[in-house]
Amino acid sequence: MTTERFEHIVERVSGVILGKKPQIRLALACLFAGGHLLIEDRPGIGKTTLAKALARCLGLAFQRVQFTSDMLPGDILGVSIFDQNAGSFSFHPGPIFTQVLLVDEINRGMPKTQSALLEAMEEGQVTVEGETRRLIPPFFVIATQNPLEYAGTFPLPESQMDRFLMRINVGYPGRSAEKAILQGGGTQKKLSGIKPCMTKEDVTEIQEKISAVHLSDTFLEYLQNIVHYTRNSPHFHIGLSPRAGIALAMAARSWAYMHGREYAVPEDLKKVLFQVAGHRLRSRNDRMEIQEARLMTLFSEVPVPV
Amino acid sequence: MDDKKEYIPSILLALFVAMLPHLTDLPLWVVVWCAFMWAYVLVCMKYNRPPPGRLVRNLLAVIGIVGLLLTYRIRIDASAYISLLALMAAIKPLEISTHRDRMITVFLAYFIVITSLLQSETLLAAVYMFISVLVTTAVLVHINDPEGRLRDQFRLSAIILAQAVPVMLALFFLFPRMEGSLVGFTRSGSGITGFSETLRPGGVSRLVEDNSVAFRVEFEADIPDVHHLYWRGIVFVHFDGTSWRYERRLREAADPAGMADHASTYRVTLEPHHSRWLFAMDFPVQIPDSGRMHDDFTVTSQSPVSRTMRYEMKSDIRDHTGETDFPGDAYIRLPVSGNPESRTLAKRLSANKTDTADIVNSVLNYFRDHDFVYTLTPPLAGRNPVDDFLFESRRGYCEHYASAFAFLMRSAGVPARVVGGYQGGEINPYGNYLIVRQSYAHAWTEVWDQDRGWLRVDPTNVVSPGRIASGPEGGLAPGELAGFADKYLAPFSAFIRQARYGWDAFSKNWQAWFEGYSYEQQKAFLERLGISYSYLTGPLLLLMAGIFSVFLFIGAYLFLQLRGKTELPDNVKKRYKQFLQKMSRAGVEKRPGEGPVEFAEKASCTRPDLESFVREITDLYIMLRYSPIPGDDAYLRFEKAVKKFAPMPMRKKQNRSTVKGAKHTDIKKYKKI
Repeated sequence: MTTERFEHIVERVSGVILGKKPQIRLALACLFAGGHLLIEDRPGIGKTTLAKALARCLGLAFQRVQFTSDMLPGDILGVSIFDQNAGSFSFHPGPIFTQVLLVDEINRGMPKTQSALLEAMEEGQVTVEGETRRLIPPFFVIATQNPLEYAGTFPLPESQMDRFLMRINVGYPGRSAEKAILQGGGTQKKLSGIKPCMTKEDVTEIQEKISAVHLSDTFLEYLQNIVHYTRNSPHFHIGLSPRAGIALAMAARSWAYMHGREYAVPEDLKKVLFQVAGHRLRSRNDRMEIQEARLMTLFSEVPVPV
Repeated sequence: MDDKKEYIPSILLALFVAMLPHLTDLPLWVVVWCAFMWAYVLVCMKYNRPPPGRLVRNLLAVIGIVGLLLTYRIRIDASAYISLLALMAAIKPLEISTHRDRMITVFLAYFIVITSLLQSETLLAAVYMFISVLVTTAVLVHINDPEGRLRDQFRLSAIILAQAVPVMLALFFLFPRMEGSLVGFTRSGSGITGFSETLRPGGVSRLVEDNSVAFRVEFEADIPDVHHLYWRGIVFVHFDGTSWRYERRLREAADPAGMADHASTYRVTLEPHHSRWLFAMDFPVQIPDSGRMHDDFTVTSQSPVSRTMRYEMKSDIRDHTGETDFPGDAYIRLPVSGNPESRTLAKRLSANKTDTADIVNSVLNYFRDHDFVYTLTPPLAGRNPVDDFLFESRRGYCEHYASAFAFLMRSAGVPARVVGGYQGGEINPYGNYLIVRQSYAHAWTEVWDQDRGWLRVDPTNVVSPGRIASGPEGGLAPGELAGFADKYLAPFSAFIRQARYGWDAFSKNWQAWFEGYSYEQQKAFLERLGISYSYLTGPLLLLMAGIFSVFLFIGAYLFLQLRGKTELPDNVKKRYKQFLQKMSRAGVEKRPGEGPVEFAEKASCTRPDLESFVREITDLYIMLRYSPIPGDDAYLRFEKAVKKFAPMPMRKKQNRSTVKGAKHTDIKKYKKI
């Protein structure tokens, strides 16, 4: 039942961004797990389109911020402006007061602006001018970024990276998908044609169900094997944090639930492993990120408890 | 209830091996009962019939106990206990349904093994006990690890046994020995030939064909000449015309010590014979503490000899006791009538003679001159057995000669008595000791004379000097004792003799160390180690209390740990590993990093023929391992599926041709992950 429901969303989104069903599934898993999503790829691949399509499909309020190097925290969080009629300051909420915030090109913003997102992402609240305001759940940040080597970027600090549950790469479309893109009438029209297939309440309900997905002792043992492996293996600079462990558990739960099960199996974890752990790990040798194939080969050594 | 039948044959094997040494001791109906029950269990298993219900089993138990009560009444000895165990061990397999039942039945087998000690402590019995413990432990291993190989199970069992040996030795040497027999009941004495307490014609010759050992003797110095080796057991005083009886009211000897011109010290290892007589060489002067010497120079122990007994004695080698008082009228008393011709003969031979020696000589000469034959098969005696023997048949064995001689002496007015015991013995070259077998049983006579006291006279020696010089076979006509061995194995007889002596020396040492290890020996052993026995009991009690409380703690801990846990999760692991083993034999190996679903996908690609089995097992496994509520029968179904799963080994050709076609369809099955 649930599987079909999710597949339905996947179908819809992939009507806009063609040939990227695996990425769409992962992105959905991330959002239903209640996590923030980082989409990383070269410009023009369709990162923004994917983010927009997802937001529309889920029927959530949507705001978009384009990060630039001159952007200030107030541009996102909102500012108090003196109202001459009322004779007092009144707060003008920024774009963050929404349900899905698309932060485009997040690594073009200054670190100061980037860290303005931290509190919102972690705690679901913002503090402006000494006053704390709650964000109405569900609240997601979908950020896109260009690969680090591109000009004019400020790399996200590790603490910021750790806030994103998943990072996914979109990648070039396949040959036939690209042909269809070329034949089609442009993305904008299709995007505006997407109708939401669930409500805010549906999303909350699904999130609750996902957090109830059972993780057996054997599963947790495997998860711990993975986490300990990254901490003890000579291949990694720093091992996975407990927060990363929680992220792995949540993502696996979400993946399991989306595939119609109320318990997670090691394969669920493996499917989301690179997306959850990839941006949190660095190679010990060159402090660079590890390629997916290499990372999965390393993880395939971790024994699954029988 | 898991109702696994495949263990039953091995459990029955353990019971059977444990029971085997008892089969001859138990009443026939108990043996038949066991055989019937076990056969019935096997038949039930073969044809998949349900075993009898609780009512039938209870009824069988009641019937068995009533049968035992009828058989043994109040005579509760070792055999009765073993019979009870056997009866229950026969019924128990009928109700084996759970693992616990299987364990209990195997422990029952251990129990039966240990009861062997109630019957016999010989070396052979001990070796057999080791074998049965080995088998029983292997069965115990088997029912806990049914997939293991037989060889490994026996090896593990042997390792456990070997590890237990030091503990066994420590307990054997240090655990306080109980005086008296184990648990207070005596061994059943059936089937043991021993010296009988009445002497009648034919009583001793029966023993001649019995080659078993009566006792063994080690001498401190050289072994005396065979003519001195008269081992006295019982002195027969009362004659009723056919048989001789011993004096029941024996008086204790005043003071045996004092005369020791040709003293010889020796150590006797006496096999159990279930009466109180201890055998001593003529004439004992110093006896063991636990024995009592009587005024007829016989020695008895305080209780019947029901276990192998070792004692040290000192004897003065001579053929007369030395001056004693006139023993009394009992020694010249004869029945009022009967054997008239013998009485006449006695009168005639003793006429005009006053010296006892002369009378003895004339009677011995009579035996020598009248063609008496020494034989095992004398004709049956009639109403006047002495007359018949002396004048009709003149064929007889030692008891005939001793009895007739004593009769003649009493008729002539000379005090005389018959002594029953053993004469001679084989010297075992391995260990230089003497083996006295039942076949050396002998009877001789003693006559009283004023100067020399009781004088030993052996009429058999006159008739058949070979009996004394070269053992029981020497005195007989050739062929009279020839058995199978002599007829067919003559060429090997020297070798067989050697082997027999070797074995005897071996088991003598066994007896000395194991069977004869008594309270006194233990005391001596500990004292040699510098530990006083009384000093030891306190710490030993403390130690036992300590061990007991440790076990109590472990028990309580296990109880608290296991309370509420019905199924141990490890079973799932065990079964899944079995499945992986089978798969590996079928050509699909699981890497440790592979999850169950990945493995199932891979397996389905490699072996599309096994796909449905692999799917079923994997699904159940995932349910059991990862789902919060696997369902009540999930484990049973899983176990059954794994057991049933028997893949054909992979054939290379078939494999290559099917992989490609299979790939697409199989991955689809698991697409949901």
